[in-house]
Amino acid sequence: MISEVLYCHRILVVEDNALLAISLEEMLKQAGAEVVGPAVTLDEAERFAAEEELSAALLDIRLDDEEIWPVARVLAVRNVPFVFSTGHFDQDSLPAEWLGRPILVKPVGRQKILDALTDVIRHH
Amino acid sequence: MVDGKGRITFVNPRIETLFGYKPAELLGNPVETLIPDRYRGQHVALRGSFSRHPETRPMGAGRDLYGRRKNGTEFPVEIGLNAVNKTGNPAGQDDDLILATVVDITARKKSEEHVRFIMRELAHRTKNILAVVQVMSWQTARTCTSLEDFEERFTQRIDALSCSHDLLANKEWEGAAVADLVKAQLAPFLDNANERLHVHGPSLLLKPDAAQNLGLALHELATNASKYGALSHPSGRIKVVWTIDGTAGAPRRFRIDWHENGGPEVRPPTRTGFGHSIIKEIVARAFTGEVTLKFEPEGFIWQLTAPADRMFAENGETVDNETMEEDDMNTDLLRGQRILVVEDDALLAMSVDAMLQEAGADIIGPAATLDRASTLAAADKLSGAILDIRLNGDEVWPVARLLAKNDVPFMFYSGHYDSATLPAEWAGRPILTKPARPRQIVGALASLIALH
Repeated sequence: MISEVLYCHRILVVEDNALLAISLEEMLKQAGAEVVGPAVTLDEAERFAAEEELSAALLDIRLDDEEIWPVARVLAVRNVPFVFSTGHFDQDSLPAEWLGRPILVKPVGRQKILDALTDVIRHH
Repeated sequence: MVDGKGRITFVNPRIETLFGYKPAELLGNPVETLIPDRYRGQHVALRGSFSRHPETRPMGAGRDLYGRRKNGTEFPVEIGLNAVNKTGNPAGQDDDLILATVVDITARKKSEEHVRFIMRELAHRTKNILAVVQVMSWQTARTCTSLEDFEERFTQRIDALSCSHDLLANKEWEGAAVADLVKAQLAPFLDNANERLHVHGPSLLLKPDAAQNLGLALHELATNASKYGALSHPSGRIKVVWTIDGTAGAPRRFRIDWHENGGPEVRPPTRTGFGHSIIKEIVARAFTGEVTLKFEPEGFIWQLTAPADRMFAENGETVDNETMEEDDMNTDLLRGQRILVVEDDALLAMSVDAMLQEAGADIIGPAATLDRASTLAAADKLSGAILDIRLNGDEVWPVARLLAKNDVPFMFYSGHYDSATLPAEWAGRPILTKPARPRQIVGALASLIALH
């Protein structure tokens, strides 16, 4: 069984694929987290990023035809740690602005997602 | 052909097609005339170095080269260089000539870019689909009772996904037609699909993501139908009907209904799993729409309404129901339906009357005046109505209000109004713009009644 490694943490989830979004939400809840979102559009994600109390965020990079960067900037300014998740970019092609930020390349297992999130929260 | 000082000494007539200059305009001018400004200085130096080592070779290996047309536009080129020793003097003399062979590679560049784009897209899609498969295995495992159960459900879901993908691949990932998707997703559950499945709706091309999500939902609906619903019984039937509303001023909405009947008596499920979450939460979220489930005793009903804009590929959609996808011919679509026809143009009234009769409808009217229309609208038990808006100087609104009050579905058919100019009172009511083809009119009325 997965232990509640994210107990009491508020995690923003941004993911535009509904099936993935719902599954991520369930996975994180199982791990004890409180999920903010999942946000499917950039607008929604920006609003959550700016207004919600957050421990960390999991950000899908490409949303429809937009990219997540404005949301990441809001989080960076608010000093909320985040993890990118994408099928598109990898460490090498991530824009220089985000060098050093963790990135999960899809498909990515549940354990890796939880590890990445607990990691950014712990090292924050 | 260029001399040692970089002056053009000869060009072939093709130069005009490529660069837009007539040969005479170029002779004696520096070859840099044909090169974009930003490369000119650099080119003078490179020309010198070629003259010192005049080997036959492609120019600028590994770099992108551009030519400049007379009108200032640029195009990608490939250039081959040959030194032509005219005098028999040692190479590199000023009077040596250089033969430059210029090929316009615009088309090749474009196709290379396209291939790169496709490869990137493919990589992205592959990653995403693997991610979907992965969560599907997790979700399926959570609600399965045994390994065999898991294998069966998981394999079926992967098949459903792959079936939607085949449709998309056939259309080069532009999208998938709703009718094709419905039929393809139901095919594995039906021995004789045509008798038990009725699909009806306008021809619409779903975007790839939408096709994937709707495909999964249809698969889960069909699975449930085959386990508990209409497809678990030989007399059971499924009707899938979809429309797009042309609402005045508001964004258009897509609606799809799944109706089962003829199956065993329906009971609401006691336990819900991942399939339930697909047909309810996941599609609602994917399409930012609303899903209704009705466990009516005579048959299960599923309905999705969602904003149309994000679901459909641009250009892939025929807003005016121009091509209806249907299994059955028009002949039966309105069998037994009592349709009020209001139309003041006698010729048009006759033709609408004829086409509706051909589709099996009983015609009430046609009414040519507001008074006559109001009388017929009040008196008869109607299945539906088609209303011309302008009637010899009057407008049909009082009749429409009466029908709305009596809960009779109706559509407007007008040469003056369209969905954008229809008064707000009638927002959400379907409207066809004249002229419409018989198939459109019959199809629109049939959908209207089916969805009522």
